[in-house]
Amino acid sequence: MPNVKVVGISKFFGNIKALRSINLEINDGEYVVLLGPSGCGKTTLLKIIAGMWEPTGGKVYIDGHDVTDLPPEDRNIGFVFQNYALFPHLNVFDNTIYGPVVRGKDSEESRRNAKEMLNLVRLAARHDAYPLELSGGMQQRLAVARALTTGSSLLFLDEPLSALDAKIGAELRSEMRKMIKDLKLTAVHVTHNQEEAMEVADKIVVMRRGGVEQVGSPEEIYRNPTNLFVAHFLGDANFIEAAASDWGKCCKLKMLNWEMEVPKVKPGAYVAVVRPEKVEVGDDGAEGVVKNFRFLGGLSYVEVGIGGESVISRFPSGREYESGEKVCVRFKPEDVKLFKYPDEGLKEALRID
Amino acid sequence: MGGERKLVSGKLPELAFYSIVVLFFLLLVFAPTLYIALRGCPDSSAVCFPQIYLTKEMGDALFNSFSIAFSAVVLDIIFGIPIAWVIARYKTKFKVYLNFLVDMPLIMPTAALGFSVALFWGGAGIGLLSKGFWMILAVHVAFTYPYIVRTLSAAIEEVDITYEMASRTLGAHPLTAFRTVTLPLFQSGLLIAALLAFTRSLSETGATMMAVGTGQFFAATAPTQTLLYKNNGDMASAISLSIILIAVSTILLALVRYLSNRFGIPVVKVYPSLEKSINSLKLEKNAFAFAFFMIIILVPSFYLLKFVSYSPGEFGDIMNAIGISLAIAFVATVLNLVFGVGMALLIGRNKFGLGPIFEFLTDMVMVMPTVALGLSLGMFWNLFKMNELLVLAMVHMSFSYPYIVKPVAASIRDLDKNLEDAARVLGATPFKVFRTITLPLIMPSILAGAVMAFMRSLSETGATLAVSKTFKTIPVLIVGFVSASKYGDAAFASALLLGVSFIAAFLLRRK
Repeated sequence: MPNVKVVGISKFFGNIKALRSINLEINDGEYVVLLGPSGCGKTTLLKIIAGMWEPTGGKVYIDGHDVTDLPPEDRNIGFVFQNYALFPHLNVFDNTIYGPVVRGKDSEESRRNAKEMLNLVRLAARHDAYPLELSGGMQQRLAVARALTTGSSLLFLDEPLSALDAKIGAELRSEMRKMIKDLKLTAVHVTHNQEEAMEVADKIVVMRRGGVEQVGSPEEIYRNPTNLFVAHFLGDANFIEAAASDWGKCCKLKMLNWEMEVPKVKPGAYVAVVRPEKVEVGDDGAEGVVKNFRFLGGLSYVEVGIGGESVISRFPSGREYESGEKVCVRFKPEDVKLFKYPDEGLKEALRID
Repeated sequence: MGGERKLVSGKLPELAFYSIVVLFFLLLVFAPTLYIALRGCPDSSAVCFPQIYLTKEMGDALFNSFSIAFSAVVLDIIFGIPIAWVIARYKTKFKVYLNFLVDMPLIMPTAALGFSVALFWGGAGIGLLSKGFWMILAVHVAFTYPYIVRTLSAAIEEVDITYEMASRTLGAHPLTAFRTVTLPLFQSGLLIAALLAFTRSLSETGATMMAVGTGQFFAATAPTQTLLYKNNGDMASAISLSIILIAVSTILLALVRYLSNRFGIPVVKVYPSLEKSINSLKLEKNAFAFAFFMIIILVPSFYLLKFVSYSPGEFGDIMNAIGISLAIAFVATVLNLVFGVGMALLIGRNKFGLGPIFEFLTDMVMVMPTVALGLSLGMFWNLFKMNELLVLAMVHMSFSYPYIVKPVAASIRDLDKNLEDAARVLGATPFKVFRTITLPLIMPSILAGAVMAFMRSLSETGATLAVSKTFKTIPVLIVGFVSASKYGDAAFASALLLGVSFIAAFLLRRK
């Protein structure tokens, strides 16, 4: 049963350190998403695990075997490419059966297998079409079918949905997860889309600048980000400068033009992170002025300016606000995540690239 | 929409421009090459259809030509693919040098190259081959090889490497991936490379003359046989053989164009273990291909440098011939630059839907054996009692025309049309767009085309021999030296020509 272990993998391109000593474990049957902004090294890591690129240092283990020096064809994997790389000179069926054919296993059984796989991705009716005649969604499904017909239960997906229209991509990702789970595969999926990551992943690996920032389930990462960048990259958040001062058993947290009591922390400069859905707009709390109001369908969104800062609240639609209206915002101490004010400055700590 | 209308304004000047371009091509390049088919009566100036007949002698010459061209192309492909592969796929410094090395025989004028290769294999060199079929084959492999490798490496480079990676992740070994994915995807490039090399071999005269046996100096391949007829005054046979050559080349061209879209390399059977074991020889295989390139192509091509000797008596003739060669090549290239780029625009942008037709006609000129072309053009221009030097320039202009049109048309086709539209929307007139956007972007291919055309002109023997009476270009002079057994002078002239070619190519490329 496939599991993947990455030990101290690094990759340098000249002076550029694309990966800095990455350690990672992927368990059997797990759906893992490597998430990060472009240039964070996630695709590099995936291609090293798949054997397409050689690491500068470190080891890759699949099923406990050291595969670091094995070429991709000897790793028994399935790989779905960003632009699918469907062979344009082969039709849908020949693309699907390509894996068994080049392994010398072109038997009745493998042909039946390929047909089943095409059924599974709803392409059986188009078995003699050529890839360029298919829609984007069909091409994507064919790419998955082709990768799975090899019989491998370890599947790598490199931005598999990024070439599709947003709506189709969103539909396909739940379908894809269901299929991968039904077939009991182990999957490693690379994306820069946090919504996609949240929807498909059992475990998310957040990456930035060639390193791993946090590993955990989507809920864990959303609720308990370990640093400002993760809080910023996964979901929306308000970042509010705050100062804590000692006050007996509790601390007093000063921010905006407001004070609240929080459990004891070291006095000093902090950044308070509050998710917009946890911000209440009402009659008491920090006083401010409505800067912007937007109706987004089921939810509405209001931006309240307080001094030089602004706080965003998202709430189920109902109440509407006018620009310039005086309102107050508040949130509960348990919804506040406090991070030490970063030495490099808040802006730098949040920077995506 | 208003924008759409604006972008098609200026119809009339455009029409006038392309009319001139098309007229130039039809009247000065294309029609003269087919004149031979109308001018069948060698001794009268009346127009009559030529008699076409095939003697055993002509048949033998044709057979020789085809078997040599075919064998040369097969050898080129077998040993060219690994080198083309390395050039296209390896990202090392080594690749740059290799690229340069492969191009070197292109700079060498074919007569000099043929002479050099013949020296290498013959008694003066390693003494392995004597003049005749095998020697001719060795010469032809040497000068067609760069055409195959260049075209192939460009074609391989166009195949996205991701396809190979996809094939590898599906379990294919590198060789299997290449055979089942990359090869089918660049097969039309392969076919075109083969056609180019085949027709170059079919039409080459100067290099062949260096390798055919002395007893029957001119009588070996179809082009040399044609020249022999012409020199013996048997114009009827020369014309007949020329027309047969032109017809065969045209049929081949049409066939390849037809096949390149339909012909498929089947992926029926795969032998994983066998291909895996062949693949494990990878390094050795590449080393073998590289050794082939060095021993069969590169060293023989430049072997003549060993024999250079200087005799003051011939120096004046040599300098004179170089001057004539350079003047002709210069005039031909400049004329082609002016009118060829217009034709490239017409083909690349498929103006008035005429692109495919003129592309085919341009290809036809390219695959036509230069001897036949020279014979036809010589007869055509002599109708007007033109100066011989001018006729030579016109002949050279004709056969080097496609070498400018083809690369420029290809790069215009690859150019993003949106860039031009963007410039128009920003307020540039069509001419301004061409000058400020299109021209700078296609400049590299114009220069590359100019270098190719210049080199082809400088090195052409057959066409010149078919026309010239008194003037001698440098390849003609070299052929003369060799037939008079003045090897030292031949080597000296060749080396000098090589030097001039090198400098010319260098200057043109630097610009």
